[in-house]
Amino acid sequence: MSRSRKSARPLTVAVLLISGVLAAVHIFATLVFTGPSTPIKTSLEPQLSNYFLGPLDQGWSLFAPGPYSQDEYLLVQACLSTADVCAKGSKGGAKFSEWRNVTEEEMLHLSGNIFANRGSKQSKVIHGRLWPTINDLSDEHANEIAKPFVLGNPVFGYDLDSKEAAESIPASELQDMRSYKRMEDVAVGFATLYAKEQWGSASMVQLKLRRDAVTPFAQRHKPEKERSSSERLIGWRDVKAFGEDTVASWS
Amino acid sequence: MELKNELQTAPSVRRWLKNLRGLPQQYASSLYDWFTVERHAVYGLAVMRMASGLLILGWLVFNAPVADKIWGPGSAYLEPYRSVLGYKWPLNVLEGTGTAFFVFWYVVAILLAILFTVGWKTRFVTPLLFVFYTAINAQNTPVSDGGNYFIRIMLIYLIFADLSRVWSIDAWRRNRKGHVRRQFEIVTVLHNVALCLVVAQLCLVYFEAGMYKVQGSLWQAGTAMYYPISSEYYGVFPWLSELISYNSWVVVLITYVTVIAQIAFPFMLFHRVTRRIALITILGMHLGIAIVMGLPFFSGIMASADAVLVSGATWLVIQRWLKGCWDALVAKFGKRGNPSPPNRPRTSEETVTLINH
Repeated sequence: MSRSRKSARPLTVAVLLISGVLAAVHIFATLVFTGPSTPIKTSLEPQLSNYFLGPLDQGWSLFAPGPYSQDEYLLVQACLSTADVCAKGSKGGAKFSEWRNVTEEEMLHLSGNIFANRGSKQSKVIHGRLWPTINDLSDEHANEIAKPFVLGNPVFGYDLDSKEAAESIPASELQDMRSYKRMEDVAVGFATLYAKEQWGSASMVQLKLRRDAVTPFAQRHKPEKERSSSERLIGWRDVKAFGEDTVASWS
Repeated sequence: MELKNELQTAPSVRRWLKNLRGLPQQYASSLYDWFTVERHAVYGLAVMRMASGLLILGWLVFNAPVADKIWGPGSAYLEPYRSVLGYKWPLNVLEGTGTAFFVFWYVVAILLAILFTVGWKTRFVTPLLFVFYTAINAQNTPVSDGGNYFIRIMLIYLIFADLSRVWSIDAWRRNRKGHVRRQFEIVTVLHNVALCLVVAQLCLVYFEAGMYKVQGSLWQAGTAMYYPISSEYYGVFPWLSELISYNSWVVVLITYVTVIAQIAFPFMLFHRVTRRIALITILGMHLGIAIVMGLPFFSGIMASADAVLVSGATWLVIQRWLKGCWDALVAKFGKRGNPSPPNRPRTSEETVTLINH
C-alpha cells in the first residue's frame, strides 16, 4: 500500500542521497576487500585495508578454496628450573616437563558437545595463525626458528625493529619475519601461561606445531593406521612476563 | 492522408523513446516512496533482533566460565597480535584492565543482550550492545568464528533500524498507553537504508563464500564437505560424520548444493518462489553446519539475518500458528489460561502488513 508523496522534502532527499551513496560505497568496498586479489583491490590499497581495520574487519572465504582438511595441534614443553640452569640443559641439572598436546586437552570438552565454550579452541587458533607465518619465511629463517633463543637473545639474532635489521634484511623479508615474530610472541605467551597453570612455574618453553592430514576421501573406508603428518618446532624461548590478574585468570 | 496516419501509428524508435521519457522520473518517485513512506520488514527485523539477541546472550552465558581467561586479563598474551588490529576507543577499553572491570563489563553486556532481545529502548541499547559486545570480542579475535564477525557488522547497521516497532517491550508499552508514535521521515529513510545494508551484507557473504568455493579443487571434485567433518575439530559427532560421508553420492550432492545455493542466493531473492527455495535450502545448510560441525552460534546468527527476507504476512501466520499451538498446549494440560479468540481483531499495523504482502 504505497501512499505517494505530493512533493519531496529537500532535507529528506539530501539524507536519502547521502546515506544511499555511503551505503553503496561501503558495500562495494566490502565486496572488493573480502573478494580475491584483483587489480581493483590492488589499486585501492592500502586505504581499503585501513578502512576495514577494527570492527569492520571480515573475511568470507569460509572453508574455501581449500576446505579444512587436517587436525592442527599445539604441543608445549617447559623447563621448570631457573633460567640459568635451564640454559645448561639436562646435563647441567635442568628439569623438564613432558610434552603436552594442549589442543587435544582442550578438545576433550568438544567431543559430542556443540555448545562447548571457546576454551576448547585457544591453542588451535594460535596454531592456525602461526603456521602460515612460518611458511612465509625464507628456508634459512624457517630453519632458524627451531634453535634456542634464550637469556634475552632475540629470535633470528636481531631486534627486528632496529636500524641494523632494516639495513641488512630486504624489506619484504623483514616484514615476513616481523609477522612471524608477532605470532611467535603470542604462542610463547600462551605457552608461558599454560606452563604456569600446569606446573606452577617455568622459565623457558618450547613448542611444536603438528598437522595430521585427514584420510583422503577415496581411502575413507580403509584408513591407514598412521596418518600423514607434518611438524614445526619452535625451539626454547624465555617465558613472558605477565601481571597478577593475567596469571590469576589462568590458575 | 491514410499513409500519414499509418506513419503516425507505426512503431518507431522515436515514439518508443518518447513514451519512455517519463520513466526515470517514475522510477525515482517509486524509489523515493519506498524509502520514505513506510518502514519495511519490521517483523523480519524484530525476529532478527530476538533471535540474534538470544544467540548473543547464549554465547555470553555459555562462555562465562572461561570469559576471564579468554577475553579478560587472561588474554594478555595476545597483545602483540591485537596491537595491529586497529580497535580504537571505546572498543579497546578492556586492554590491560583488571578482573573486576572485565567482570562488570561482561555482566553489563549480558544485561544489554537481554534488553536487546526483548526490545527495550533499542535506539539506545543497540549501539551500547555493539560497543560492549565488540570490546569483548576485540580482546581475542582469533577465537571468534564467522558468527562473531557477522553479528558485529550487523549491529552497526541495526543501530539505524527501528527494531522495536513490533513484538517488543517498546511496542507493548506504546499499545498499552494508546500512544501513536510520530514517524520522522528521515528516520524512516535511515531504517530502510539499514535494511538494504543487512540484505546486501547477507547476499555478499553467501556470494563470496560460494565464489571462493568454486575455485577450490576439492569443491570442484565434490568431496570438500567430507574433509572438515572428518577432522577432530569439526567432526563433533564422529559417527554422524561417518554416516553422512559413507555414500559418495550424498557427499557430492551436499557439496554441490552448498556451492550452488550460496552463489545463487542473491539472484534467487528476486522472485517469491525462488526466494522461498533459497531460504529453505540455506536454512537446511545452516542446520547441518550447526549440528554436524558444531557451529550453532555461527549458523544461528546467519539464519537470524535471513529472517528479514521473510515477509511480514508470513511472520504473522507463523505467530498465529505458534499461538494456536501454545493455546492447545495450555488447554491440554488444563492450566489456567486466557487464550485469545481465534478471530482476534488485527491491529492496524498487522492489517497494513497483510495488505502489502
